[in-house]
Amino acid sequence: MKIGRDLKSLDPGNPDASLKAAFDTLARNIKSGSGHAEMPAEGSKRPDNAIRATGTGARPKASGSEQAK
Amino acid sequence: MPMTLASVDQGEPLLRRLRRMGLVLTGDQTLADGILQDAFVRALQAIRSSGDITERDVFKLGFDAFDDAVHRKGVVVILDRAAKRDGSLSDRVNRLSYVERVAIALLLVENMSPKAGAILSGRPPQVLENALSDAILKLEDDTPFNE
Repeated sequence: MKIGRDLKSLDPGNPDASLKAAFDTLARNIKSGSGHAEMPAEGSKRPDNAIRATGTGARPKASGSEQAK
Repeated sequence: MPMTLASVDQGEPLLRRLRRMGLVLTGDQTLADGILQDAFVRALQAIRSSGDITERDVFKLGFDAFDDAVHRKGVVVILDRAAKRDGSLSDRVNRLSYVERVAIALLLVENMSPKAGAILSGRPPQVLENALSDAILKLEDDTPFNE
């Protein structure tokens, strides 16, 4: 849907340094593997983002027994 | 089908998503950034005494901060006065009702399910879906609203 793509492409520009600093401080408190597998991963630009491992929205690989079902 | 808060563009930075949501909901990026920063600072004070948070918590924190701010009468008045009337996409978004902006921010931009959007926003799923339909019709209409 074009309007959806247009809205997603709205560019908020670069954040103010103080906003970025406040966010980064908050983000350091984001715990990994928090059980919110439905939450997407954050971008790859923030190296301390430990939620990426389980937060991609993708289901974890099924174990052998699950694949057999 | 699992409830999802996922954005289509997975891997998109959370801060960017929050700021874009703020732009859609408030119509003003500077205002949205100020609201976010205040929310982050207040949250940090609480987090230091209560432990870890999740990414989902931060997204909810941002949404609630915008939701609270937009419902302060003074902010709405300022937004109405500040809005540009140029027929651009931003202008057309600003002309939507608030619930329509919530619907497009959550269901269209963030690709949430109506149920997930309802849980986050406190609006019933059907209200969000109807608002989204109305908003899309308005946004896809290239005719400026005041003509």
